[in-house]
Amino acid sequence: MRRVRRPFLWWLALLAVLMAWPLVASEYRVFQAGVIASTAIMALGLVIVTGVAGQVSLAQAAFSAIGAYGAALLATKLGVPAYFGIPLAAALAGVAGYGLGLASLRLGGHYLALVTMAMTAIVQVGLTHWETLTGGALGLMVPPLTVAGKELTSGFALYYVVVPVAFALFLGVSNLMASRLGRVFAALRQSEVALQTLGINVLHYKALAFALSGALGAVGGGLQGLQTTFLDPHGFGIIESVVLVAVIIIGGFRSIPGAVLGSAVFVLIPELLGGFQAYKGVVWAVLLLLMIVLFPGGLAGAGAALAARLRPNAGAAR
Amino acid sequence: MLELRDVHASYGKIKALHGVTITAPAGKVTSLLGANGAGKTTTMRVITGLLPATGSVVFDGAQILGLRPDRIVRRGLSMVPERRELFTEMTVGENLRLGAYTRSDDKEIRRDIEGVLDLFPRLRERFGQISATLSGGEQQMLTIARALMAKPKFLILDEPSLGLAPKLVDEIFDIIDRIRPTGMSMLLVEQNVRAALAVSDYAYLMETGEIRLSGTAAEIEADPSVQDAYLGT
Repeated sequence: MRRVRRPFLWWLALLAVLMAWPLVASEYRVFQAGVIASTAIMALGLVIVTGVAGQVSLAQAAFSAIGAYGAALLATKLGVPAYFGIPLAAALAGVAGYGLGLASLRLGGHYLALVTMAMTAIVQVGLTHWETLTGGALGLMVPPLTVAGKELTSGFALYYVVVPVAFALFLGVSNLMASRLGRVFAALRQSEVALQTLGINVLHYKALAFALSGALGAVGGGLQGLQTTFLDPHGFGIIESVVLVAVIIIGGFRSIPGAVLGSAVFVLIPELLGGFQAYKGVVWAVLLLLMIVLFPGGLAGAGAALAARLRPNAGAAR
Repeated sequence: MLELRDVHASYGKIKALHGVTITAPAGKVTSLLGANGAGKTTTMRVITGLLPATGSVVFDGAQILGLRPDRIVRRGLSMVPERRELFTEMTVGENLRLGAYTRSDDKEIRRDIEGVLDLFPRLRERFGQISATLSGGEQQMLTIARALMAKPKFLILDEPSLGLAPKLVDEIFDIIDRIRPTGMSMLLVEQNVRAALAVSDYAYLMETGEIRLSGTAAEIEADPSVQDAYLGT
């Protein structure tokens, strides 16, 4: 209990670095870092539901679509600014997530995964064909975020919106996963039967995990919409859902920092490939396989293992 | 304490229970015996709210048939599931603490953890250990200890000896014997008729979805048909 302050100081130091770094970095890097942050928020939702609670979800693209389209439409049609629109869309995605989780009453395992996949397919079809509302296959412009009469459009300005939000959400989820709720989610993954015999309403907690993942997916999607300024329904399909699962596998599946590491790999890979963009899918697939075989704990797990290997000297000296 | 009356249940069109009546009194160990497919597990699924049924299931004076499983547990009826369902990646201590999830009295929870550790000294030695690394018998101890952490009024044990080596089976029945003096009411569901009768006050014998025999453990043990079919003497 007395050690509570130390992790708090680490978080504070991290925040200071994150806030100072753009002052010395290039505009392009800052933009990239912002996109990593919004992707990481979506991945964080998936870490909760799939990594910790053990429910495979291919609905994350649908939730991020609800966030992106929801906030953009609230802004265009009703003039709701993004700082209200994104939370509203996130609440809607949370409710949708809870409903999706309730489907697990009758369906488990692979079948539940199929239902989540169907949800993504349905949302995408809706985005494509409800043209009067969503602009259909032509896409939708996202109105810029306006704060106190100023339009925030530069990567630099948006960084200072997205990163603090991401920081707060990661801090919040870290605490939540260390709480009783986090322990129940982890228990859900390990034995549903046991949880049931302990007087815990398993269905409610499963639905809650989906609700949290939905809300986070929507916040990430809404913020990313501000960064890309344009929404294309093709960007919210089953493939994107699968890619997010790959992101958390590469990052570390159950690891909260892993969500950031995986997102960074995902955002930076196209740049490393230079002229070989056509092979992005192949590189991604090979990377994923390598990680699963060599580092089942993902980048976060590999990092922890490396740190442990560097430390035994100190341990032996004591 | 727990009373089933004329319980009928089915899986789709196949009837599994044909009017089961069981009384398990407070402070006693009642065992429900029978071979594979006799309907023991189905009966238990009905009691714990996992399978809908007709008839009546009264616990502690109230009808519990049709209640949600978690509500039934909160009324004080806990089950120790078969196959030692543990939170395998968590430590012994974490498993015990999750057992008390429905309670919020922190001080008493800590005292009860001490209590179950006194009952199972082996778990005290393994307190910080990941539960997947425990032996089969220790895992069974932990599932029982975890169920006790919910402070149940009534404990159902589902096939506690299943899949354990004969020596460990003895150990598990020893545990039941050790819990008995605490006045805990128990329903023991078992295939191992001989071992179960040795620790029971009352027994029911199931065959093909019906209660074939009932009585005190001594009466059941002395019954010639039981001697023939289950005890092999």
